Amino acid sequence: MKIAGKELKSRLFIGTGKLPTYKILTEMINRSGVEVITVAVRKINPSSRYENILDYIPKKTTIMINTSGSRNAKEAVTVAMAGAEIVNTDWIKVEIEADTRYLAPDNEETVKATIELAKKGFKVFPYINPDLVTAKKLFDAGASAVMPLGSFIGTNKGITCENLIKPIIKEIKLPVIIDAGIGRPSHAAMAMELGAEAVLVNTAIAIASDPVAMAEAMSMAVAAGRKAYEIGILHQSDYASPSSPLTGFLNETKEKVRQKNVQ
Amino acid sequence: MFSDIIIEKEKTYRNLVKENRSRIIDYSDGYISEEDLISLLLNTDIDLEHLVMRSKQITDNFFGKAILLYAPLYIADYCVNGCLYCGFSAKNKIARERLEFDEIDEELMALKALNIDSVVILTGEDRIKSSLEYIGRAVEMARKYFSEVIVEVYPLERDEYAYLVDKGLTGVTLYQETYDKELYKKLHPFGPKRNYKYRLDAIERAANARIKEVNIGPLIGLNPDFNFEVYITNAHAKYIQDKYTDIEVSVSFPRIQSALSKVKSYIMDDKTYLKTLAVTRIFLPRAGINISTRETPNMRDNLIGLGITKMSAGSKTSVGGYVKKTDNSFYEHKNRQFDINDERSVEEIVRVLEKKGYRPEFTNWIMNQK
Amino acid sequence: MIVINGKKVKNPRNIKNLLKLYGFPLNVAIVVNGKLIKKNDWSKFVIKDNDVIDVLSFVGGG
Repeated sequence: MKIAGKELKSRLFIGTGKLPTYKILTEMINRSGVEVITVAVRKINPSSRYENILDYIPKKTTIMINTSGSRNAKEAVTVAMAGAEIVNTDWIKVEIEADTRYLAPDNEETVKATIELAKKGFKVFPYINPDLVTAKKLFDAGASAVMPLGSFIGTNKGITCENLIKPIIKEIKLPVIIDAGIGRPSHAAMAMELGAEAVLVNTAIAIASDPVAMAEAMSMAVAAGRKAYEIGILHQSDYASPSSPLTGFLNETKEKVRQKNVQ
Repeated sequence: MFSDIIIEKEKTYRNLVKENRSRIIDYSDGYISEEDLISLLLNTDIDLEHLVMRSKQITDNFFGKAILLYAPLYIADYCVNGCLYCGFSAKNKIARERLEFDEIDEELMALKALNIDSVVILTGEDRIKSSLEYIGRAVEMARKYFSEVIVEVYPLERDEYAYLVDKGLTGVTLYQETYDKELYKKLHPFGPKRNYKYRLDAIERAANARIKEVNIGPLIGLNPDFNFEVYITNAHAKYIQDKYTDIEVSVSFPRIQSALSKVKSYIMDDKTYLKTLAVTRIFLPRAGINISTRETPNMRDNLIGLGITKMSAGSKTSVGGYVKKTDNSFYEHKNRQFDINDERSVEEIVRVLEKKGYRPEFTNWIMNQK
Repeated sequence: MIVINGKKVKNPRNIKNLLKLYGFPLNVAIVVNGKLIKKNDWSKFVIKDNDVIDVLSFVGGG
């Protein structure tokens, strides 16, 4: 698939927050086939033996800079600009939260930041509370994708906003990447069945007892869900039905006629 | 202000205690109510393992496998209050100290050399010897070196907090000691700290001055009714979270350990302490839970991963103390606000964290943004 | 003297020296007194006494 001009094979993006250590990232990325990861921007201390996350990220991996920690558009833009100097990447995940209880994204500030960053030539991936109107504004602002949350960060509740996300997938001509709340592989599969282009998973992988294995599991689920979506998800039905409930009579009549003729 | 609604909270608590009804609380998913919290606290027969498992789950989910490390720096111990439980009480005939600015600078740099990036600056209460300007200057100096500068000083007016925020202050720590108004009066026989309401509402004044984070809590051991203190602390934290949704709220439950206290203290046992932290985590999934060096290494190590999100490390609880002096006995005889039970260095704590599968975090903020 | 990530150190005079002297990798962003200095401008930038410098890189984040 192509997102923001890049050809990608994997539809699983991984967030690197909450990890107990960075060194598992190399194996995780290689085993899961993940090609896009997010990182945050902070001051670093080189004199210590503390890990530098960049040492564990393969060169071919696309780094998406997350602006988390920003409380408004201005801060987000500042962080994005600084992040883009660290390595040569122009993918920015705009994450602006002003509520520490739910980490609910500030849609309004996110739109503002997107406008500014898109103008500066960045590929902007805005993280939002699913809202069709905001998604349209992001499209107009030049975003590269829309990233609606499945459930609030860290809740692992899956795609609880399905009915708010579906219209975005249907109406907005941007890749939809469901981000946050994906707690199990089945959630990831469901996200793909809905028609999302990709999913971003962080918490469920980072705090799993075996993060590398969980990343692999998520990757398989994403592939499974997408495959089914591409061939056409069957409509769910509450009733069992014969193969042609409405028009079966036509065939029945033809057969009766044939039998009559035979007699 | 919280002082206006605390009376209803007390009523809720006392009613539930009187009712004495045993309720089964399902805390396996979602939020629990204040009544649920009180019921959990009052239930002496609770499955602690199950409770702590849920606490761990929530903490891992929302905070990940990382713990923030910070350190306190006492810059002065002059105090005009007569708190019956404190080593710095005005009645204690001890030699008082106040660091000069060049000494503060040295202490800050020594702390910085330990990799600490979050500092709590403390003074006793003395508006003349530890004036607002003196504190402000210390904050300004600290902000050059540290991403997070918190003060644990006497309660201030809103514009005084605003003055400190302007100097670079990011957080305020203020312990109410006891939320029981009558007991509070008894424990503070003289001095400005005697004003219960002024202290209680200070956190909101700081919040109105756009502080980024607040830390609150009781001093466990003053009031034999532990459940009351734990409940009201939780209610206080929730109140601030709901009123100021963008401020980070943390709670702490320091337990009185030592004989520096001149008043009868009630020891909360370890089991109850663990239960306290776990129910707090369940009631306030996104609040920070802070544990100081009052606790033993064994307790602190075991709490990692169960619900706490920040720990002090390498702490000194007397004035200064981080700059290496040629004569170590000098430090041994200094006045301490409380006895430290975990004297391990930052490096040692880091190793413990790593062994437990947790990452030490030093920096909360991105850069020195004003 | 200047301040780098909160530590008071001797003025390294220019950014290339700063990275070498204090052991920073090349994959960093430099913010001086709150202003981001782009990589293209590093070679011309002169660090003045009392400058407060933040050296940023990546950490784990969602």
